[in-house]
Parts: sequence; structure tokens; C-alpha cells
Amino acid sequence: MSKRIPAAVAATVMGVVFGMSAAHAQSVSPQLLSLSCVGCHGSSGHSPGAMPSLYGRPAETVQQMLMDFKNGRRPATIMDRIAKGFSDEEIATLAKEVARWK
Amino acid sequence: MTKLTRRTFSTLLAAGAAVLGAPIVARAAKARAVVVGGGFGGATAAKYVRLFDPEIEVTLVEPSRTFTTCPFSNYVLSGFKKIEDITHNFDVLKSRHGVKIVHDEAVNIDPGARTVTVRNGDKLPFDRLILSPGIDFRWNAIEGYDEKAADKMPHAWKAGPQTLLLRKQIEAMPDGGVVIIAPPANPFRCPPGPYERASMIAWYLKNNKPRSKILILDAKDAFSKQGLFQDGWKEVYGTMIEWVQATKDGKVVKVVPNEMTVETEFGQKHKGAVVNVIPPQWAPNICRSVGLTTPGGFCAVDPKTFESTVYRNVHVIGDSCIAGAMPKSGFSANSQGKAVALAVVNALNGRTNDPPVYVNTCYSLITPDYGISVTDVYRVTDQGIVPTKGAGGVSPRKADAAFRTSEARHAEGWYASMAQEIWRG
Repeated sequence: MSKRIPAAVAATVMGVVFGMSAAHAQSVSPQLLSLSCVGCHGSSGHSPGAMPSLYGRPAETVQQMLMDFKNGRRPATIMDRIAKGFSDEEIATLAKEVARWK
Repeated sequence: MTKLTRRTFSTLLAAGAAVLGAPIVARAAKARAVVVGGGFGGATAAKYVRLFDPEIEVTLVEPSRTFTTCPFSNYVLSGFKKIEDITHNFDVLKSRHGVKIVHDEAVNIDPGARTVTVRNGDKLPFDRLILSPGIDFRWNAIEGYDEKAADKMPHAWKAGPQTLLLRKQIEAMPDGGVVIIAPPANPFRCPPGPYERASMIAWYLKNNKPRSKILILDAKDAFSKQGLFQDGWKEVYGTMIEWVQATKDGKVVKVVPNEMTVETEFGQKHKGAVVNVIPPQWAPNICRSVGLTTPGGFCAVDPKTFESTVYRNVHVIGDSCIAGAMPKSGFSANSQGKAVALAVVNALNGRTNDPPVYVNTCYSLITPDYGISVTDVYRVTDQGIVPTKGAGGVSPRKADAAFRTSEARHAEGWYASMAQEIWRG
């Protein structure tokens, strides 16, 4: 149970097949992706402060907002800098996870 | 969230473990995780192991019954927050998430036997150990700055009584006095912290003792968010804050607490009405004494799982570890806490761990309505933990008052959200 498991070979192969860049060759867990948001936006997207709450929003809405931040189409203080840190695929995955929040 | 089931306590658990009430039918846990440290990293890791797999028993070892955050402690210094506002307890971790808490100090680790020994002698068995014990100070690295010196020249780099002591000194100082702040060289806990502190003390002084000055004697030649801080200082505080870099004789090498003087590298002496020395730091003794640290004083870890490169099944997160480009911040520790919880749960369930992503966002206030930030999204490459190219960075140098105020409100929102996420929810 404590044996160290090597990095998933399958994911590496997938990365080569799909031609993703080295940094995104293997997929980050969808759960960890969405947990990147809760530090500021609150547990399950229930924000107790100035950041907008994210719960109850459809995946397409969240995805569009993040893509707009990433591409400079939406005014931001910090979300542009953060959204640029995720690939388009990750943003799609993240949006689906966030949409599950109630 | 999965409904919790109670378990009877293993006789191996320390006597201080929280009692949840009448024990019910015994059920052996799938595995045991022990977490050392109830701060940003440890409390996060403890909670998330429970959330990811409630069949794993989690014991948190934390000497104190409360945790006072260093983030926002600068606002206690300036007077617009109270120490109660930044102090949290472990009740929710216990009652809602079923984390067992041992209020004692971890003093030894046996990596072969897989036990943690606490000060009262009890041994806590683990399948996986997550250490997040923060920092300790290198006493006497600056001549004369030993533990006793902190009574006269507080570091206030662990929040709590030291914060209140420094606040009292600032309140007692005369108008026209000099506040000396001596930040250390890298790496240290909270890179922007000393400069936010200068800003917050300046705000207090401007409003209460306007003839006073702040002298930053730095052991470095550059600092986090420097351009933004210096722009803000000039705009808001004029010439109140002076920053002396190391190569211009900023590095403090000796202090005389009874005289309230500090001496810099090339022999200059400075006297302060208040002297805040932030000494060099390293991982606490629990890490050093068992051989987890490099000669630099912090713990080398696998960047994907935070497992120690020295001992299997032992993970180190937060300020104590070497995390590549991630700064030693509360937000980083929280991010690492979630990732390590997932890595540990996957390992204990025999599952592959996906590549992680980490985030850090640090807000600093120049005034209560003027906020600045730095952020990065991190990945693991063959260079270790690196920021994502083309992403992250600091707030824009040119921005209007509305932008700065918005970031100040976000700073508040971040704190409320993270405190909720870690200790209160």
C-alpha cells in the first residue's frame, strides 16, 4: 500500500498521441483543478467575501467567463493572470466540476 | 459531503485525543494518517484527507488549541483588526470532519516503525505522515538576537503574543520616533510580509504620529512586489519609509536589545524606538533532528506528492519544505495541503496520482483601501515546481484608485474564504 507508484505511463502515451505540450501532457485531476478556486471563492463556491460566488452556475457560463478572462475580453484585477495559467481543456473540465457545486 | 461514522479509539492513540461522546461499535480504519501542524498546510491536509476518504483515520498534532494567522496580523499592528479576528480553533475539524486532535508537540519521528512521538511520551502510529510545522528562527544568526531578544525587539513572525507586543510598542512610541524593520535574505516565510508591515505601520503613524519614520534595513537587494510597494509608499506616505538594500549597507549583523540598537554589515549603528527584527529561518526541530532537512535548513520533497526524498511515507508541506518557485505563504501551504491529501489518499488506496497543479495568490495592503497582489499557477516539470509561462505575475503598475480598492476588498474576501475553507467550514 505504501509502494511508490511511478507516474502513469498511459497518460504519457496519451500526451504524445494528442500532441499536448509537456506541461499539460497528463491530466490534472478534475477535483484538484476545481479546488484551486475555493481558496478565494469559498467552499463549494459559496463566497463569504468580495469574490463572486460560483455555485449554481452552468458549466458553459463558468467556462465562457474563464475563457474571456484568459483572452483579455473581460475586465479583471487578477482573474486574467490566473485564467492564463490553465489550458482551454482544463478550463472546460474545471467548469464542469464547478457546475456540480450547490 | 459523506456522512461520518464514529469509531472507537485505538489504544495506541495519544491520551489527548478528542472524545466525541459515547463510543459505538468498533470499526478498524482502512489506514491512519498523522498530520503535524494545525496551520494553513496541516489543517487543510487533515480536512481534505477526511473529505477524500472518510475511512482513513486522521490525527492532527498541534500544541495549541487555537491558531492565529500571520496573514492579516499586520492589520492588528495598524489597529484595524483585532487579534480575535485572525484566531481560529479546531472545533469544526473535530466535529464536522472527524479529525482527531492531539494537543501536544511532536518531538520525534521513527520512519521505520512509522510512529510520531509526542512530548508526553505517546507514540502515534501512521501509514502516512504529513508534516506542516512551519518555521523556526535561527537564533544567534544575527549576533545578539537570541530568543530573549524577541521580548524587546519582537519578530512577530509567528502571530499571537508577539503581534500584540509589537502593537503595544508601536502605540507607546513617541511621535518622531524611528521604527526599524530588518527583513532577512531569501528564503523566508512570506516574502511580501515585511513590506506590507512597513505599509501598515506607516498608515498608523501617518494618522497618529506623522513625524515618525520607518527604516527598512534589508539583507537583500530586491523584494516581492517591490515596484508596486515603492510606488504606493511614495504616493501615500511620501518620504516616511526608507528602504536600505544589502549592498548599500542594509544587512543587520548584530543587535543590542537593551540599547535598542542594530549594527549593519559595514559598521553603521541605528537606534530605533521600535525594532522589528525578522531573523533568518529554517524548518523546525522536528524536521531537522530526524534528518529531513538539507544543509539549507528546509525539507527536500518530491514535487508531485511532497513525499520526503529522505523517508518514504513522510510528506512535508508548507513553509518547512522546498517547493520550487512557490513562495512560503499560507495560500501555498493550503494549495499543497489539498494536493498532498489527494496524493496520500490515492497512495493508500493503491491508485495512480494524477499530475498536480498548485496556486498561490498573495494580497498585500498598502492602506486599508489600497491592495496589490501577486499570483501564479504552478506545474511540475523536470525543473521541479515552476510558474506557468504567460500567466500569473503582479498587479499592474499603473492602475486607478478603484482597481486598488477592489484588490483591497479581494484581500478581505480571500481571508474570509480561506479561513472558512480551512478551520471554520
